Amino acid sequence: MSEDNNIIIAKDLSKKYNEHLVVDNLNLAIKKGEIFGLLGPNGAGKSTFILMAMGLTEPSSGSINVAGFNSTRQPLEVKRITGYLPEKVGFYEDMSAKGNLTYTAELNNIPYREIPKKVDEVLEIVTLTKNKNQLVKTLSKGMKQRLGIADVLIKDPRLVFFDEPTEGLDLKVANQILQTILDLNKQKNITFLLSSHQLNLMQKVCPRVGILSRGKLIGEGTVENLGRNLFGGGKYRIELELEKVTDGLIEKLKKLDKVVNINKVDNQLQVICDKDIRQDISRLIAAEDILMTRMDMKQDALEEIYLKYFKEE
Amino acid sequence: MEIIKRKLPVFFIILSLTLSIILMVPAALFAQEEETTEEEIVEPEPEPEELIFDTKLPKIQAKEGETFSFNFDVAYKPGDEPFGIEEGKSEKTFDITVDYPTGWIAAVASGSTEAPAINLKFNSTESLRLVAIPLITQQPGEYDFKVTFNSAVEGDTLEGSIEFTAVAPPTYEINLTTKTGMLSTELTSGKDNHYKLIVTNNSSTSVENISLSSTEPEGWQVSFDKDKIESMEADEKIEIDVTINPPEKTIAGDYMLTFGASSENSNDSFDLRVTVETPTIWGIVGIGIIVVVIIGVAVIFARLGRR
Amino acid sequence: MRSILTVYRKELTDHFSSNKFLVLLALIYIAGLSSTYVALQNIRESASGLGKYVFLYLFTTGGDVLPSFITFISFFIPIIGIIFGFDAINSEKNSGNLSRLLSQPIYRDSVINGKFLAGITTLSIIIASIVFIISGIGLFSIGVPPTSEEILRIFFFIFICIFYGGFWMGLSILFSVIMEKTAASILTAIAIWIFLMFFLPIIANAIANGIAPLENASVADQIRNFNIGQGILRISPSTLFAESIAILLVPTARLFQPTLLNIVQTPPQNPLSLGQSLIQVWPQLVVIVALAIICFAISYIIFMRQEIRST
Ligand SMILES: Nc1ncnc2c1ncn2[C@@H]1O[C@H](COP(=O)(O)OP(=O)(O)OP(=O)(O)O)[C@@H](O)[C@H]1O
Ligand SMILES: [Mg+2]
Repeated sequence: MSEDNNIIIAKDLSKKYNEHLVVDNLNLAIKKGEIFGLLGPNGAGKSTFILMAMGLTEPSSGSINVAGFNSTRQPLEVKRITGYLPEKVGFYEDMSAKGNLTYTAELNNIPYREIPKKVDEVLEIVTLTKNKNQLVKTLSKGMKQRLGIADVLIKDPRLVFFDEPTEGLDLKVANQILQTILDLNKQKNITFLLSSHQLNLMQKVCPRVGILSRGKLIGEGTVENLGRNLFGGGKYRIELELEKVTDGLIEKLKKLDKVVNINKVDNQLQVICDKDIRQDISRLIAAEDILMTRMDMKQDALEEIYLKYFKEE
Repeated sequence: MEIIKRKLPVFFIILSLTLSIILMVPAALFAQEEETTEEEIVEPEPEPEELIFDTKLPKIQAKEGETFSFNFDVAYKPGDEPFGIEEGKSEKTFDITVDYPTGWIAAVASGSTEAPAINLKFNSTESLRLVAIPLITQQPGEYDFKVTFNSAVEGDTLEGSIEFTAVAPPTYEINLTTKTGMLSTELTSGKDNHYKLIVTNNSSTSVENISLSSTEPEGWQVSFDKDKIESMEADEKIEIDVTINPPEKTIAGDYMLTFGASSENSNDSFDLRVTVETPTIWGIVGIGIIVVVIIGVAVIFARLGRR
Repeated sequence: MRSILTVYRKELTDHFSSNKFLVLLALIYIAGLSSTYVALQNIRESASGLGKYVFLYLFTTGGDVLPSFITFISFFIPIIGIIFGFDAINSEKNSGNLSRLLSQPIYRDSVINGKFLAGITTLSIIIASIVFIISGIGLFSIGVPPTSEEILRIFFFIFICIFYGGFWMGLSILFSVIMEKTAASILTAIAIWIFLMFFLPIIANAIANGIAPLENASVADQIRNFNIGQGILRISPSTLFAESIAILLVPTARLFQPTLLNIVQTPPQNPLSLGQSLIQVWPQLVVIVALAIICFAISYIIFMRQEIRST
């Protein structure tokens, strides 16, 4: 990982709120041009991480750099190139969509003459051109979320932090938002950091995710790899509950095609494998004349992750 | 009741006049008869009956509107053969008539009672009063009154009279008022405001040397086109142009000015309520400021308001 | 710097578009115009008996039914200050605008500075415009231009009003920074205003009467009673403001320092020069300005140190 390739680099980053450790010694690097999913249950510290990256709050220790700028010491430089869409994004309800965007543009020092063009341009991207002069209070939640994207695009960001992009939206709208993110990433080469606890949705757009739990980064990589790690290197995990477990059986199972590993706990077996081999296993056990009381297959790594880390509280 | 009371003196006068006329006609007739009898009988002159009048002040002057009161004494001397007096009686009754000019009423009074007739004792003096009341303001001049006593005895020609003169002095009254008759006006500060006053000579005669004066708030300048009038005929009106100049910095508002006209015998004055108005320049500046402020606020609204 | 201006312009626009601004403006204009009407009535009636400073009477003269302009304005300034400050920060937080705003390349203080300046500007426009309108009406109906000293006094009066309003605005912005709910911040600010306006005089009176009872009191005790009462009242910026503008707009006025003479009778006094009037209320002015600055500075510091929450 060369420095040049990374747009965000967090080193030993920690944040305490009143002695309560919210981000715990976090080390994370995010590459330019990628869509990174920061996943974790509520209260994991995702938002806090983003705030520190934006320079909106100071880390208790460690450092975070964005595009070569120290977020804590050079927040203005970071903010100039970074868009941030907060979890509960708000607009001035009594102003029009255009009015809100114009205000953001002015705050970003965009020359007055260019503002109307810029506003039209970003509204076009999020297909809100028709609602340009509508007061924000008359917009739907999905429209507001799209307006949020437009608001972020005003400053032509290189990086966008998007806190809970799909929270509270129905599936169709959520997918639209995610599609927009994908398009922007492709067309404008904007790096995205999406924070969410909706893994299934994130999985579609984030090639790489980081899993945050209680302030600790407990996993990082592609969803597939994460699942693999979780399943001991395989894609699937087949759980068996047997009358009895013999060493011979384990040996035979190991010899089956695509089997990566086998774990034994009492008379339960976990078969880690890269293919659905339940039929082979049933046949084999039947041949061994052992009574099988249960057989389950876990194939969805994210669900597994979810169960493991997200259901804790 | 009211009407009767008021008309009472007039009624009395008319009554006494008619009475005296009724009584005088037969008296005159008898008088003629007697003359003829007197010529026939020539006898040594006996001492005649007579009425003797006496007064200290036959001519008096009173102020306008006042009642004239002439005191006089009358005495009756019966002489040797008083006409028509019954034996043992020692008095004779006389009717009293008063001739007076129009515009007056006059009557003879004894004490406080009016006396259309009187009993005069032989050889004694009675004090009486002629009361003359001017009914209208009298032109200055002399007015003659004549009190006549006629014997009330039928056929008796005895009569006597006394004359008085009432002198009505000239009245002096000058009036000062505004030409419009209104006692308030509006003026502008810092400039000469012209205003018309009228002096009227309501005296019965001409008046000389009328001077005009004014009392004004401090700093004000008030001047008259003529502050002295040499002479004015009775009932003459003269218009006076007065120039009032409130100082530049007079607060708009109400002020009191007093104007007076005075001559030796009479004077008049009135208060003029003067409302000073803002000189137009400050009015314009004031309105200008208001307009500028309102436009300013409106412009801020237009530039900044989202409406 | 441009970001302050941007926030300032936007906030100003917000104020000028708000109904609360229109209502306040209308209220103050109505109050100002009606008190001017009464004042003019009085001035015209006693036109010949007025002294040198007729123009100032416009602001200080009231009638039986309506109080004078300065009474109205001392009542309204705290309200304007509170109304334009109480939701400065917490409404931004609650609406979710603050974190979006702060993610733009601006310093955090631009937000609070711009808002304070916009509030002060709005206040200044309201007060200055009505004072100028009254002056215009005065000029129009009195017909005597103010002396240069009167003009100076009027300008000082406007400045003091602005600083006094600044104090209340600073105070209510402070509450908007430390309180989450806008209802809480406005109620707290209004509670303080009501306390200073209505209850403090009662308390001051009670304490003064407790320490130095007025019944069968000697003159010395009466003076002591007054001094104690006034001393307590001076805790309140409203008292300081009332004293300052009274001295400033009534050149003959003196700060009431009771002496034997004063209790027996108040002799007519000669007008003071502007400098002398200012010297009289200098401490009051300094305290008002200082309070305005302190209130704002505290809100500024707290706001700068506050953690931004994402939710
Ligand atoms: N300003 C603050 N003061 C004190 N505690 C805070 C503050 N901000 C956040 N916290 C606490 O820090 C913890 C992590 O908060 P954070 O918002 O980072 O979680 P998150 O991962 O974004 O959760 P969610 O999915 O609910 O958004 C939470 O327990 C929260 O209560
Ligand atoms: Mg969060």
